Amino acid sequence: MDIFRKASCRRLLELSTTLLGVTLLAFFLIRLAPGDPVLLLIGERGSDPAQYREMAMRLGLEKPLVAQYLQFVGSALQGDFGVSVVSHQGVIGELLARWPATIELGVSALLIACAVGIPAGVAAAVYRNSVLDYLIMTVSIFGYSIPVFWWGLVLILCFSIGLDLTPVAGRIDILYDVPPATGFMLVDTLMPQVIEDYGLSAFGSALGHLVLPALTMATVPLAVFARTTRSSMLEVLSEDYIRTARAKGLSELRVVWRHAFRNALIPVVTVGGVLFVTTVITGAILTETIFAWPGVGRYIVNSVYARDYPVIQASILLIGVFVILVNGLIEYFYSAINPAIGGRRAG
Amino acid sequence: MILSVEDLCIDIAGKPALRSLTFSVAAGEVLGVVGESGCGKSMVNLALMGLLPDGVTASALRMSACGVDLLRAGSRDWRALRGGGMAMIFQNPMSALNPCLTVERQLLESVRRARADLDRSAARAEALRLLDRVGIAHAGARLKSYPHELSGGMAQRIMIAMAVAAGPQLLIADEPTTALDVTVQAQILQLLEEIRRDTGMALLLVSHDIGVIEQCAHRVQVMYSGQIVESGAVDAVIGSPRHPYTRGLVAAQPGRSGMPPKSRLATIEGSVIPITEEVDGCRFRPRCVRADHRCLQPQPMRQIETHSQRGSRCHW
Amino acid sequence: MLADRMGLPLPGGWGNIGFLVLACLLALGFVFPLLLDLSPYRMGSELLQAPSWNPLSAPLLGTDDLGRDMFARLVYGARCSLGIGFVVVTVSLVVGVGLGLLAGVYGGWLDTLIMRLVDLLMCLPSILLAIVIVAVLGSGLGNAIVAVTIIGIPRFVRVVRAVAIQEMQKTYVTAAFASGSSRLRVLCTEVLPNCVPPVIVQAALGFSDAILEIAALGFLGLGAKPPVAEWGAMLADARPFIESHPLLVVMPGVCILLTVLSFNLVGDALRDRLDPKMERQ
Ligand SMILES: Nc1ncnc2c1ncn2[C@@H]1O[C@H](COP(=O)(O)OP(=O)(O)OP(=O)(O)O)[C@@H](O)[C@H]1O
Ligand SMILES: [Mg+2]
Repeated sequence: MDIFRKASCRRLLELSTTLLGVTLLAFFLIRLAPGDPVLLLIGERGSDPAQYREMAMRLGLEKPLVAQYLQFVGSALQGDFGVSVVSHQGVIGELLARWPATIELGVSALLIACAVGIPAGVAAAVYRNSVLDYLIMTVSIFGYSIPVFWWGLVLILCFSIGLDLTPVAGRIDILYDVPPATGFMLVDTLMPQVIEDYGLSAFGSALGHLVLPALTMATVPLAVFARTTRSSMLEVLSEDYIRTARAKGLSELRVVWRHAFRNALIPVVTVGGVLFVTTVITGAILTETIFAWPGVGRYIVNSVYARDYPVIQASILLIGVFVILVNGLIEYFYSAINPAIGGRRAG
Repeated sequence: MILSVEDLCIDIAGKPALRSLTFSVAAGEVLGVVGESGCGKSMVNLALMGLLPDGVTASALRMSACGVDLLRAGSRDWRALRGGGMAMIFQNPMSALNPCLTVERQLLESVRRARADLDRSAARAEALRLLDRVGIAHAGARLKSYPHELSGGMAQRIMIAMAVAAGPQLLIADEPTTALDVTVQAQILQLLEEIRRDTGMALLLVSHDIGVIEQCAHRVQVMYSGQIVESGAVDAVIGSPRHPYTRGLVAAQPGRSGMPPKSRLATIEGSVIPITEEVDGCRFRPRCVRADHRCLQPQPMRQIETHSQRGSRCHW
Repeated sequence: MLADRMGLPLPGGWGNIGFLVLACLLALGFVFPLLLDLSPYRMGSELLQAPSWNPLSAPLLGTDDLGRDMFARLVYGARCSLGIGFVVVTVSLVVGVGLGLLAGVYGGWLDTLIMRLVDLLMCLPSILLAIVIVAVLGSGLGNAIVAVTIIGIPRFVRVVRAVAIQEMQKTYVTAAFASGSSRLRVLCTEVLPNCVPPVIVQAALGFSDAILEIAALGFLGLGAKPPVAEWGAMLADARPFIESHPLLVVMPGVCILLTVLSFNLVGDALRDRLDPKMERQ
């Protein structure tokens, strides 16, 4: 166990060096971009000399790089990422305000992906080389290769334009005036006051708005889940202990779910962690743009259009930290789910 | 007869691999099976348990165990048999236990399977009793362990505990000691023998070590490249082997055939024909020192002494 | 069978179909323009024309909102995607293999440094990273290519380093050192040949990722800019017409999907064939 602890310390060290790298990347971003960093940070138009001087002071450009960097990290730690060039609001506030929308979308997408992809993968493995298996694997390679931004448009074409089932953009109908309590629309529309005003129709509208973007975002991770689950199940099903379980006279259902599935889940969890991050961020950037979803992804893209460097800087830093945290958690979960892995890694 | 098999043939990927095996095990009897690695011993065992891997199929004239006709058994019958009359322990105990479940959960599964009437605490007590029976100290603490925390010997004891939980009439032990070191080997064999004597179950003991068979079995059958080449009572077969392969095996035992210690061990030259390969005549012929023209004909099993079920697949 | 006899390095199984589709796309993108009078920029008088079954009288796949021939634009899009994919994969392969060898063969602080950089690149989702790089360099096709190339490097570093470390531990490599071979020699004779199969697989998969990312950047307006016939940018251009002329949106997407799918099929088949143990990360 002691060696294991040492191994996880090492991993912690690795993760923190990556964190360091992320801060360096964010720090050098504006210094590498062509142009005067001060101008980049305050926006080029309508900057008055006083504002310029203030920003130059803040950046401390005349000081050595190390001091500048420390100052940057220091203010980042205090949650101070500067002011958006476009809105003149604090960057951190703007990002945090959009975070729930992105998380709501990402988590729904991931839930759909898990709920469909993992059972599909198990079924494909259990009935391997059957028609079902081929069908699932064919669908999943398509899902894996699909350009998300196009897929979203195709879904809009089918369900919104063709069948007129779902709305095209936004989080909720403009009819509804839902006070933001948690930022998660599905939760907010269930607040007592909202229910009093609109009944469940506000919730229905929020759900309707969520369906298409969530489906769009779910497609790629769904395919990856199905493929990973299948190959990992196949591997586990050929293990000796599965034969033992069968030799005990257990039912096939029990063998598959209790003895094989749990063990096969381990690589799936790892992949799921990585997917969670890529789904939430990558998916968000493209999907939110298509569906005009007011989340972080669209905000980042718009900031790039507007050359809103403080926002870009803060986004990299926050997303980097988010990714590293998720990875750390996954690794912790990974060793918790399989006791033998902890032991074997130690040995 | 607890187990009787007539003309069992096993095909791997459509190619015949094991050819016309006929044998039986009586209640309380220990049947030893010896043979080189790869001659198909495990395949036979898996066929008996209905656990053949994909692409491997079995057919037979007659195959029955514990009064169940295995040829006509549906998946439900098989499951009833596996959790009841028949049990099996495997070559490598470390990989035969699920690394993600505690010993308790795996053992309770077998106990519950055998005795559905027990409630949780009674089942736990039964599990503790079983662990005690297979000679595991601190049974209570061991229940909480994961397989990777066990030694090989301990893991095999737990496998045995799971196997005997239902009080089977036939236990198939597929090289139960091969993966263990020598001192532990003796203990495990001892344990199996004790349990057999206490419960009166029959034992199908597979090994590639003829010494182990000599020590534990009543009857033995020698397998070579997918066939049974000689069978009979242990003393008779080992005392006066008839098939050249059995002779080779016996002679290759250290400290036998009156050889002075430290003299060179006898070996059998050459290597086994892959079991799926078709051969004209005797399958041992390429390695046999006494081969002649008659060996080009297929060798049937020949009864040697009518009264003792002794047979050999050799014309000599 | 036939392909084996002719010495064609086909990936086998479904990969062959992917291979075939790619060959068709290549022919479409690089041979068609030579044979036919196609221009992706020439504006005709008929705007938003529907596809026609008679290519002699009207454009095969109709025209877009500026009256440009959709077929020509799709064909030039194939040229654009495959060409960019090739450049991206080649450059990131060369850089990635070099770094991977350095890390795996020399080890030590060099290894640590390279792997931390790789971790950093892999930690941020690729589209975000591409957007950030484009944000620094400015948007445009050239900068998008640079961004996607940088993102493509880590996959090669990782596989090559893994192979190199594995090889360096083998006895014959130790023996080669003992007999006075230099590291460079060992690298060229022992390590490099073993890197080839996984690198080929990663190249195929890298192709599909690169094409997808370039198209995504084009779609977001951060890559190829409007007149250029690039599938992602075409898709973005056609968005306003999604209700009236859905085919304008559907067609470029189908092209991207088909190309990416083919590369994935080829990559998967190659992996199964060259190295069954290797896992897709
Ligand atoms: N799943 C399988 N599919 C096809 N062939 C197999 C499979 N498992 C084993 N075989 C083949 O069947 C033959 C017999 O294998 P088996 O495991 O029964 O040998 P064994 O006598 O038990 O040997 P050992 O002493 O090593 O356990 C081997 O030659 C092997 O190549
Ligand atoms: Mg065996």
